[in-house]
Amino acid sequence: MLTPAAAHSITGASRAVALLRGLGVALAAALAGTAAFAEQEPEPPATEPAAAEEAAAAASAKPAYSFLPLDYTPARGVTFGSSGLTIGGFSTFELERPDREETELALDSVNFLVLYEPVDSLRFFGELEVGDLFSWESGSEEVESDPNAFFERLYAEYGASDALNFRFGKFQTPVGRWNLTPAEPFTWLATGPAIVEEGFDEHQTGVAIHGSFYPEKRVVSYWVYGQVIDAFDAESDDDPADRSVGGRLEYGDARGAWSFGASLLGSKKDGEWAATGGVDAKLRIGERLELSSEALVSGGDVPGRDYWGAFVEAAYPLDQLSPKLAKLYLVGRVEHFDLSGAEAVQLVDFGLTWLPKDWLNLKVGYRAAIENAGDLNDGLKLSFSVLF
Amino acid sequence: MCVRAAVLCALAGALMVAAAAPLGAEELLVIVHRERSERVHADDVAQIYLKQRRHWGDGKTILPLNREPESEVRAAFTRAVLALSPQQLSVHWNRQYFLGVLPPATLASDEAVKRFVARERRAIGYIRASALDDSVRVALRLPDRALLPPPD
Repeated sequence: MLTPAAAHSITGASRAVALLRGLGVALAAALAGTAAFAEQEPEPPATEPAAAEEAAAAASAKPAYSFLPLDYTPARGVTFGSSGLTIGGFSTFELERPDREETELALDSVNFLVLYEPVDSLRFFGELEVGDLFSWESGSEEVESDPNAFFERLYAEYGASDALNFRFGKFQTPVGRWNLTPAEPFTWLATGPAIVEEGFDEHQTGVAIHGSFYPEKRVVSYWVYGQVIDAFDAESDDDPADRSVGGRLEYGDARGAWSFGASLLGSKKDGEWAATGGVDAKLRIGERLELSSEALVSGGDVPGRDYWGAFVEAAYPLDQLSPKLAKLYLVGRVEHFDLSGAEAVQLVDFGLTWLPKDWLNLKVGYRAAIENAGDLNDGLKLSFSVLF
Repeated sequence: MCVRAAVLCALAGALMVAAAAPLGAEELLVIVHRERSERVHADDVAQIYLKQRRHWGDGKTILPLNREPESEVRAAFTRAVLALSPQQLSVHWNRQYFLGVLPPATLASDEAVKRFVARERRAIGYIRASALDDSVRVALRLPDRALLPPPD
């Protein structure tokens, strides 16, 4: 699914996109090749001791299922011997019952995560989404299915040190913290914040330099990145920016109990520029409460990129009330989203999230529009996610 | 009456102290290869085991070694260093999984951890003090709350 611009003449940008597509093919080839290699070389992984005693100890300790040379652990994927290749993924089954629309039942996608670390400090990572598998709407006699596949993410990364990592490819836009892990099995609520989902492009295709420094008891992390080539494998309903440049700075506690971040993103679309800036924070109060918040403001000449908004999200483990409620969380989010040219939206999302296993989570949530939901569906949503 | 109450209080106090510090409890040690000279603090170890920090000072990738999930040593280490509940750790590793970062490898005994660290310059592990010998270097002695009962 190359964008039209990239499909035209052989420019530097389209060469880069072709290179990225080649990276995907290479990753697939490596996958096939290392699987074959792993079958021929039934050795313990490089991270395990060579001695038989330690190898036996390791085998007894780690994988939930071992089909030497393949080790499989639910929610952590299958590793192929000492090849450095790991394949896993996740999928979510959803039931949506919007207040003003038909009920929809869907298996939206199956996402495969492929990690290949052939040597120290070099890694290739891809997320291949097989989407639109099936959906059914109440009142309809047909189940809709239009499967398609595209790369949500695909990049190569070289880590020279903790302070200096180079990335090339398609990756999550590092604006705020919610967008870094936005897929449903990894979020507290089944619905995403409007300011993130509507406010800026989820992905960037280009280069990034990022890293972390560790002053005493603190962590300072940074990102500098740019979409220097055309968006790679954009979803059909996306309308990504042509070019962009951004940065992010985060300062926090060494053990992740709290952190503050600031992000800036400039995007160019059809010759017009828009700028988005925001601040975010996270606070974990022992085992009792996790709070996160983001605020974003955007302005410029790009249509749909003139807005401001903010949200606060909380997750409270209910086992504090009763041990019988172990692994059950009360979750909620309050959000204000003010898009220029439209009425401001106030949203309250709340629900329960149950994480009975590492590889399984179930969510039930309700989105209530206190004022004017606009195009943002309010109503009930249930989801069932599996990590494999 | 007063004397009897005082004696009972003293006995109860002694019992509480005994329960808090079991006889024979031993330290938990973070170990690295003998040639590694880096000093590490508890915060560094936490970042390493959460895979937030992934390189040694010489640029080599750090290979943190965990014990198996049901291990008493791992429970003490997690409590003392990571300060996270098992559920919070599960959430952390799921998010990291989305980012292509996998949890540390696991080994099933102090001996296995020690021998691996002695052989592999990039590794870091933790063991009971009673398993220590001069094949590895102690990078950190964990605080008192990581004290463990001795192995059977």
